Amino acid sequence: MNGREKKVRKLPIRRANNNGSMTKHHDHVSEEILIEILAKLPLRSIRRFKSVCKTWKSVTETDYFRRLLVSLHKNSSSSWSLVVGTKARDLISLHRCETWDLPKSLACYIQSHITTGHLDYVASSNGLVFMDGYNTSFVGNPVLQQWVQIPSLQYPFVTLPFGLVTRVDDDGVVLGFKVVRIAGDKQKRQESLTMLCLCVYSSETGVWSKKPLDCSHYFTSWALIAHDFYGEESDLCRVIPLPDHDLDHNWCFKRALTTSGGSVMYIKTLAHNLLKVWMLTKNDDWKLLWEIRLPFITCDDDIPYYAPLAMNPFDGNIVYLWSQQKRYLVSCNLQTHNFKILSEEEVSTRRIDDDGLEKCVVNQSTCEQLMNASFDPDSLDDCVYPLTLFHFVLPRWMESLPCPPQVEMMDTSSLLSYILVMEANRPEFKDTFGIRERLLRSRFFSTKRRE
Amino acid sequence: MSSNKIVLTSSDGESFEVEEVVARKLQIVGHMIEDDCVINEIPLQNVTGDILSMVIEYCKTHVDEEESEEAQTKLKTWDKEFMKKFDLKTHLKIILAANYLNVKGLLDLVSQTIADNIKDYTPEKIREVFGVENDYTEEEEAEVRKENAWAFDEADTPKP
Repeated sequence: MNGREKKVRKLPIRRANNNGSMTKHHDHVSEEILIEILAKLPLRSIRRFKSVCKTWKSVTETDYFRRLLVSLHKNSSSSWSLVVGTKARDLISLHRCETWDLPKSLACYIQSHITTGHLDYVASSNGLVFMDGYNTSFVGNPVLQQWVQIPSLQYPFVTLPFGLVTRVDDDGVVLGFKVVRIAGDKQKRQESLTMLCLCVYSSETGVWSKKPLDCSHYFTSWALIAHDFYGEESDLCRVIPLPDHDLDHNWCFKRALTTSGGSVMYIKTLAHNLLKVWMLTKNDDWKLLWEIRLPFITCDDDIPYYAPLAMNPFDGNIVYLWSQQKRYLVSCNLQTHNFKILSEEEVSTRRIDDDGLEKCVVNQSTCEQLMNASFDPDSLDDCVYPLTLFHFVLPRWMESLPCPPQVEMMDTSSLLSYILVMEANRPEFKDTFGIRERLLRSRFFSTKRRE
Repeated sequence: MSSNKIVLTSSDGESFEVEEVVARKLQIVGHMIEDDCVINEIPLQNVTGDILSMVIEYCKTHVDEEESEEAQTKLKTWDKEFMKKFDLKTHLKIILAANYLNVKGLLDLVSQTIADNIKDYTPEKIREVFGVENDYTEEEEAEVRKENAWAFDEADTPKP
């Protein structure tokens, strides 16, 4: 559509008389102007205003409108939460963003399903979450309240929920998803130790398929294992050593793996307030983005007092660091050297502060708990596994969940009532739950030392 | 830079003498100048004097779009203050004028201002302010509301 070009010469105000009467009414907002206004609203308001009248609904449902809105928001952040654990507790969140303007953090949207539905949060990808419950699992959009049930996997061995991947178009609209489960210990023992036995459910086919992955390396704390579930037909994995894997690690440092701008990032804090940030490039190389002394620390000490938590999922200049002495979280813009201590409440209604830092809020107690568990402030040896946290990020557009063939979409209330029925018929509760909880936690709190 | 003066006349007969560089900010005028169909006076039939004066005030302020960050910040602050002077009714008049006169910057500014002001409104309030008639049947409206329940206030969404 060429609505933009058309506008240049078109005079949209068509009126019978031209003697200044346009000021008498304001109800003659043309569709063109209406689109200008609506495209600048947050998605939550756009959704609410669909019930104004049929025109307001239809103008927001065109491809042109979607592209306009996505292009207007391409430089601002969408809503996100940095979540941890199977209960999806949030560490940092941005919900009052320009794109969505949500009243509560994204983790709250997930948590309502966990508490009412006895579900565990497993993973998220492009606004979708993978939730696992007794004998059943779901993929859905917790904000839009759309869910699909993933059929049970018929497999001779115990499988555990592992991850979720999605395929998106240029505007970030999710076209399809894949749910990944991993075969439990028994299966692993029978096959080679370097084999990962995965089971993959695709929303396109609506069926499970077995996918053995040959990792041909032992898992180490100094390498990533990568596999593209949409790109590669082969069963090979790429092993990507961390950028500092071959250095002598006798000194003290703290490190974290995170994502920003769609890339994997590796953050490390070292002695003398040194911070290093690497980005994983498309060729599986690490590019050193930052190597700076933290601007807000005056003392110059041998111990890195700040532990890296994560980066901003949109802005690769913003890093979140935990002060182990003062027990607070600092948001630091490495480009401008601006920094601020994050608080639990939004201080003002402005979305972005004058210093260019986004208005994130922090969950102090969750942060403290996680950081205590991950980094011992008195220990010099924190470096077994990097802290690995994942952002739950909403896309910049609200598209319906891709629905697998022969699967019916559920809203939140039917999902919850379904689960309650399942729960009522559940035979033994505690044992299975305990194992799963432990295993999931080992993935998320991967910095904990392993025996 | 040309210091030519151009007279813009509103639909209610009010005339404004402005420099050509300012008038060119109104793309409708810019095109007329390029097409050589301008002498000195341009009648603008779809906009009244009170609104036209606001548009001209905007164009005068934005006449040299400086690149420097400082100038940009200053302009942004001015924009904000400028918009604060008017109510929603006037904003809607300005947006019609900005669209007709084709002043892209002002169109973006006013539409963003309107959007910021109405974003928390209920659909009922929107209908009232924009003078929009509800053309849904009761069942249709209930259906649309149900589909978008998450976008309404807490009270309407299921509690955890």
